Amino acid sequence: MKERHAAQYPPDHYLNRELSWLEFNARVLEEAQDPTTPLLERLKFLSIFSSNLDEFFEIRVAGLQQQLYAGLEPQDYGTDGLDASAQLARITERAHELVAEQYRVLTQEVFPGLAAQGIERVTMEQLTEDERAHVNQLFRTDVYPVLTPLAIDPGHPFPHVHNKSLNVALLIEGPHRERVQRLLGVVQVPSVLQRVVLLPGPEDRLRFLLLEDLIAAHLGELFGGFQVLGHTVFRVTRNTDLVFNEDDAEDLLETIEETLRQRIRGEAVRLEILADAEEPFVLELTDSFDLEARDVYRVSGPVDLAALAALPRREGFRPLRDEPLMPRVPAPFAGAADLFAVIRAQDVLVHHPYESFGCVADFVERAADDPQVLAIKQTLYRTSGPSPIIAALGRAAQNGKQVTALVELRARYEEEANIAWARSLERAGVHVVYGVLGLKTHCKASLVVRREPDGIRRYVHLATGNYNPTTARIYTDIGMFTARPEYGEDVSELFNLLTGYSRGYAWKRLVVAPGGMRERVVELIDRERSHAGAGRPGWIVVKMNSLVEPSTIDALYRASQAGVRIDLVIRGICCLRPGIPGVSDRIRVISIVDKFLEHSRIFYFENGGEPDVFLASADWMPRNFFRRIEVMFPLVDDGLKRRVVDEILPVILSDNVKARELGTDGRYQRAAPPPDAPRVRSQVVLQEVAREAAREGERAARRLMPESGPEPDRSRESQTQPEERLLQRT
Amino acid sequence: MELLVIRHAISEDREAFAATGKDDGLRPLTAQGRRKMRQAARGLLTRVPALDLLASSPLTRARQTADIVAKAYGGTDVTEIAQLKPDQTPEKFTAWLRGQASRGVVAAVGHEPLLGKIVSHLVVGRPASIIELKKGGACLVAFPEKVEPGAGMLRWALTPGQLRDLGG
Repeated sequence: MKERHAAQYPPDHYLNRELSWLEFNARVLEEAQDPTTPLLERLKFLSIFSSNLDEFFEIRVAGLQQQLYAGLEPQDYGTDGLDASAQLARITERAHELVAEQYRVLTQEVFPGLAAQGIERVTMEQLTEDERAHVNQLFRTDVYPVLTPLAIDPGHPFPHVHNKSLNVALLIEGPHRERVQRLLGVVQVPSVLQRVVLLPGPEDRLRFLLLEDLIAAHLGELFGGFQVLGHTVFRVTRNTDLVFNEDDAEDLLETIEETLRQRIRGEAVRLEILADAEEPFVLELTDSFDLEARDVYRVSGPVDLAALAALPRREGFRPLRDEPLMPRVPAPFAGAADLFAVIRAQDVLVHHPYESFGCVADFVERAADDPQVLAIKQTLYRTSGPSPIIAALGRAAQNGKQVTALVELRARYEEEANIAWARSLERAGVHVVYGVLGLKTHCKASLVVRREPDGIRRYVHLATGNYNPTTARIYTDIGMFTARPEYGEDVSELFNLLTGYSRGYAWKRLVVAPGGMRERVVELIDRERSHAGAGRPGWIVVKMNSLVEPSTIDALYRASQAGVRIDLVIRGICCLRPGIPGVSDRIRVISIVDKFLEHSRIFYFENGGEPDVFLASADWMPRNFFRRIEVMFPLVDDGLKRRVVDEILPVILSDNVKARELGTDGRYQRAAPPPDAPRVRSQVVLQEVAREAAREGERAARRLMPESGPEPDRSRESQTQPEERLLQRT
Repeated sequence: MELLVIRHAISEDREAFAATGKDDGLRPLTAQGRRKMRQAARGLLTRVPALDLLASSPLTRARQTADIVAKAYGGTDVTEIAQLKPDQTPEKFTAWLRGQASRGVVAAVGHEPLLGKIVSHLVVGRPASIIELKKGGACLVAFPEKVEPGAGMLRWALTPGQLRDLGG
């Protein structure tokens, strides 16, 4: 689907999306750098930085390389005018800089800090006699049987090295084909084994060895008859972009066979290798994988830090981690026996992870067992079983209810094991639908149809986050329960659309993509511009993950030019450049990166004193507007609106601990509150809000808010402080 | 006419070779580079069945690559031209190419970044870098009418890995 809206402003008015993403990952790295972050959490952020970067290389860098090497057109053109070659050059420079810093933090701060607290990475040389005996035994029993040592004959092609697998490369010398030869050898570090090998010892200490070190110590045994001259550890990242854009590649497809498309996906894009690797290894590997010098990342610590996430997940070492999460039961549900009665009486807003995801699982579970319930329909995006919701859906089907699950798998070529749970749902009698052709189902909706004394009633849950109990503890998301008939009708129709039976339908409340969400967003922004033009105060607050789509950025520029105050809280990519005189100088962009991944999407429009508040599953990116099925929905209940407007948004907007402000130059700076100003860490404040609300059963936000919202220097502003305005309105 | 642009295959390390005191222009392909190129050349043959002229930069690594291609095409002659040396400009190459307009398919073996600039010059008509060839990679530019800057159409570009797959 081609839905390109050409940018209306000059290219230098936009930031590059890839570089903006790298800056997001730089903020993740900042959390690892922060000495006030507990040590195991710092290690966790280092590991997240790595896995984020992996995906960036597998998809984004791979896509750019594909454009450059294969002359493919990009799926979405950048508005900043940088071509693929220039983007790759700048990505390479920044990524090398960030990776160097990541390893500095690991080797000079986090590893030494952890060692002082009893968690220590050791090498083979540092083992005691007993430990050595233990790991050598482990090697013989558990590791050796699954190793495949490969000696590479110069006459044969290099063996296939799997995407993101860790490998030991070695140089060996010995008799081969009747003469003494030097050969390269490769041993894959088995991914089926734990990378972190724990050594036996007292409970308050944790010494560990990395699996590759153990394997490296036994290379002589693996290549009997050869002398090992040297070894190193490396990892190759490949192109795994599964969304092959068939529209843009017609010319290519005319001339290339299907098998080559697979090959494009598999091409190597990055080599990570130990910093002390000898040059012949680097040359041999870059040549074997057709890589350029810029694609090589020499790292001064273990290759692939994602595996170290196993350490923070272990039990114990409490002081080295964040406080445990204690999600609260949303006040309306506390002590309520009949969840449906609560929703019938009032709409309910649930703010995760501060408030428990349990009520969402409850909603489906109770529906499954409720004899009055006739049907359940549910979207499941990137869910991996087992989950209470999936179990409940299966049970509901067995209880004779009509159950539909709209399943969006992570990839088209999902492994059989991963779709096993979907098959088990089918066996239980659930009608499983695998999405609409060409469009990913990204909206999050659940519908329960219930027979009640006064007729059929529909109960709806709509949300910004996935039906995934694991991520609901680490992502911030907002959901709403309602029994309002117009939502019920809309959501019924949404499921018809998803299962393929939709006809022309005028949405009553929902705004659905594709097919009008972008237009509606631009309309709402333009309405604010009209208010400002007529002398009424205009104000827009948008909290989401990414802002990329050019026509929405341009609408925000126009609104700013007309005098609308705009606050954007964009966690990740932001292609809008704030602070351009006369264009975007009324736009402030902040990004909050903290212990929970900011994921909720909230849109606030002042509307001349009659505010509109929307929640959405969509960011403002071309893929959300045009290539996915997404839902944006308004809050109509005054209490719910007030909660977002008075409780949630003011806290987020006044964050001065984990908020960074985007500058006109594309760089992010931490807010620097005056020394006497109260420190506001929004995620911690919102946790307190939820705790108080649960404890007293009523809103306690106001007391917890700082007396006067701390404000960065906004001398160019003449309006009253908007946070105060928000707080005053009830 | 069609122009088949080929980047030379993997050659020996620049610095290591410099240590031998010899001129960089003499730097040869590695054994692996030659092997991979032989396979890629077979792949080229599946895309472009015949060549009418095979031009090469005079530098050893390009010439050796051209020789491998020549062999795959049944022993075509290789013509060394100065316009493919690394220090040349896209304009000079285009001027030379115009003189070959009567031929059906011209192949050119050379170096980056010059090759990327040549292709961009021929396809978009102004300095840009729309493409970059990996070592042993190739692309095909077609001229439906005249041979002039901006008149070319990029038919395809294949990485060395793809060419090898085609070569079986």
